[in-house]
Amino acid sequence: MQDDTTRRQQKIGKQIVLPLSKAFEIAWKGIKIRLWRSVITMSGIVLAIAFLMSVWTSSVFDRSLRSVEPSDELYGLVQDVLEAEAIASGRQRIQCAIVEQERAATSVEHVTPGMRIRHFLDGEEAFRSLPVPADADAIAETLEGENPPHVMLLAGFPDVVSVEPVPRLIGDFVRGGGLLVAYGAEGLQDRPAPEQMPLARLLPASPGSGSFSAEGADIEPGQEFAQVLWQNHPGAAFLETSGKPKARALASSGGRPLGWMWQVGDGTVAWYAVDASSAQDVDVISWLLRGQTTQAAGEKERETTGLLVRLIARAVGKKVETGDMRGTWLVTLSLLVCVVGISNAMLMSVTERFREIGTMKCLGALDMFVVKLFLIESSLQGVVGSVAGALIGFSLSFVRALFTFHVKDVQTGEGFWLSLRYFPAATLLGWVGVALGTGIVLSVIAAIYPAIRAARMEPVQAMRAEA
Amino acid sequence: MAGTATTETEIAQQVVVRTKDVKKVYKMGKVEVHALKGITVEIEAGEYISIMGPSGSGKTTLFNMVGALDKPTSGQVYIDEVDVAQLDAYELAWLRCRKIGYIFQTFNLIPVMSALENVTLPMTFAGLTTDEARNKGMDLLDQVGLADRYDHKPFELSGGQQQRVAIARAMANSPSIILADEPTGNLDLATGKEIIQLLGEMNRKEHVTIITATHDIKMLSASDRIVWMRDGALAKIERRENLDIQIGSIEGDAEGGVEASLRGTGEREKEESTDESAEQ
Repeated sequence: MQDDTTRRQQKIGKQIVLPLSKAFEIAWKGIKIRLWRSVITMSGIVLAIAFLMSVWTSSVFDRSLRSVEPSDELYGLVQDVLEAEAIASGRQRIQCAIVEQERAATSVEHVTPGMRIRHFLDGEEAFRSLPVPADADAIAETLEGENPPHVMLLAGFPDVVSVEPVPRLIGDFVRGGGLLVAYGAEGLQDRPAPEQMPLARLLPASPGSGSFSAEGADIEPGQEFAQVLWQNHPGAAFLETSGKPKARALASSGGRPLGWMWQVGDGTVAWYAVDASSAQDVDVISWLLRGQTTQAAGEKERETTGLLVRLIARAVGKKVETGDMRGTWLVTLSLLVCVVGISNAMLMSVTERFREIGTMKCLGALDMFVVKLFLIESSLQGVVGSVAGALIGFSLSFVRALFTFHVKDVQTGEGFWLSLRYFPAATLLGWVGVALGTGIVLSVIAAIYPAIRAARMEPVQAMRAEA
Repeated sequence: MAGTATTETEIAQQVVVRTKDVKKVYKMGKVEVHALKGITVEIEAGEYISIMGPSGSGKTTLFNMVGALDKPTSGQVYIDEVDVAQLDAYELAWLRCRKIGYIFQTFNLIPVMSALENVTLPMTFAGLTTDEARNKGMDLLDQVGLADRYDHKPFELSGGQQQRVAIARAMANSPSIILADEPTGNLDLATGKEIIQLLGEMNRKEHVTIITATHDIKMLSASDRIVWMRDGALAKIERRENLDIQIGSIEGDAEGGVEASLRGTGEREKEESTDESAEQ
């Protein structure tokens, strides 16, 4: 009875604040025992972060490897040239022969330069594509046939152009007013120097190469073009092309040809080896075409080239813009999914434990202790879930990128895993950091609100809120 | 023995819970529900008191007020002469932790914790070290007869066993009051009886005040006083002795009767009369 009295006389004190380690201990115990529930909660975070990370990884690979592959800009350019030709010629239907080296498609997504242009041509009313095997006889048959094409496309630079009589035939075709467009920069870095380039042999009597300087140039009227090339590529070696019919310029940088253009009779031979990641090269092409305008005598030609410049500006501008828009939209969307997914998972895991929170409060837990408990739990789940999500998301997108950016050398048949060769480690690591941060911050923020609400409730209310 | 020696001031000290015109209004949409319509009651230390009444009579609401689990719309609740409404969050947590032990109809053990961990949780909140809490927790589990099942999780225990753990948990910090809301509501007859017995034992051995809200008739014979409620108001307050005449034969619970007669009841009669006059 004595200690009964003393117990009653005890004044009301203040509840002690437990150290964080106690909260951690209890939270950890909870996670361990509620393992499955924790895993399910975490799977929300894992999915959200995996989605985010996969979108980011994809866009990093796309952005950093697109310049390695033949670029969209290049194709845009070729398309623009063809469109301009169509308008300039006034013909109803332009026949385009496409010669492309036979190449093994290494993946479903791998599209060869010839396939891309064919796809474009077949979609346009004004053109008719005419695939020609990369075979000297087939080319001869096509060019000397009854109904010769107006445009000759050398896609991906097939080897056959150096096999007689193809150079002669193509030379005649061009001199007869045909448009020759050679394109496709893939694998060009590994090609021999320009002198040995098969296309050089298209020109009659190539006298070999020499150094070129702006002063001693006999390259007018293409001087402007040469100057632009010179400015943009200080290391470029210019090769003399005197003796050729109205040859304009020829340049190479580090063994890689940059661009040639000839005026042969009424026809134009254009070959662009454009480094599409470089805006300067796009400038070069614009310059080249503008140069043509100044040289042009007739009204019609002026119109054509003016149009070309506009088309290029449009194509390049549009490409960049839409690419960014789509990326931003995807990232925004995935962030939204991430926020909703994580919030929902955390909200569920807190609300279903209202009763537990009420009980804890009855036993003397302070509001802050309850909040701490849930924040510790959610941040632990956030860390584990985000790491797992980032790993999964990255892996998925990496595998995708691996196959998307696998190319085969035309000549040797050797395959290249571009995503491995040009692995953008630093950029990706940055995004991994952002994804982890997003996951952890989101899961904590999402848990704060329901935890505080539950902690503030009167115990009775919390226990009544049946899960 | 205490009863015979007490003076008037000591009697005042012995009132552990006092409510003064407690009202509670719930808003259900536009309708106001008057769950409590002004309750004034005094509960003495060491008393075993049952709040009885049909569902919706407000007994759980009153019970929650008395246990500082909910705030009255108006009126005061004094626990050891301290107005609960005046306490800040820290003091309230302290009160719930050390002064009051709670027992619920649905047991409300923390599902992820073992029996022992459930019992030691309030001790952890009270700042006991892990070892102290463990020893004390094992003692308490022993008292409720579950020492050998200390490592079992709630779902591995039967309802009766869970409620025993809950009783041990309620006793963790040697409270002066144990609040039991329908403690036998989810239990079968025999187990319910055991629990009532156990509560009675605690009441006798530890001199802890026990307040239960119940409509289990079994509870009556164990109680010192019964507070009958109807429609949010006190219908009557009866001492068990009076009640024994009516239902004693039905229950056949002789033990409670013997226990009650051992206690000094002189003050209680006085108490009761004041309660009843306050009610009117």
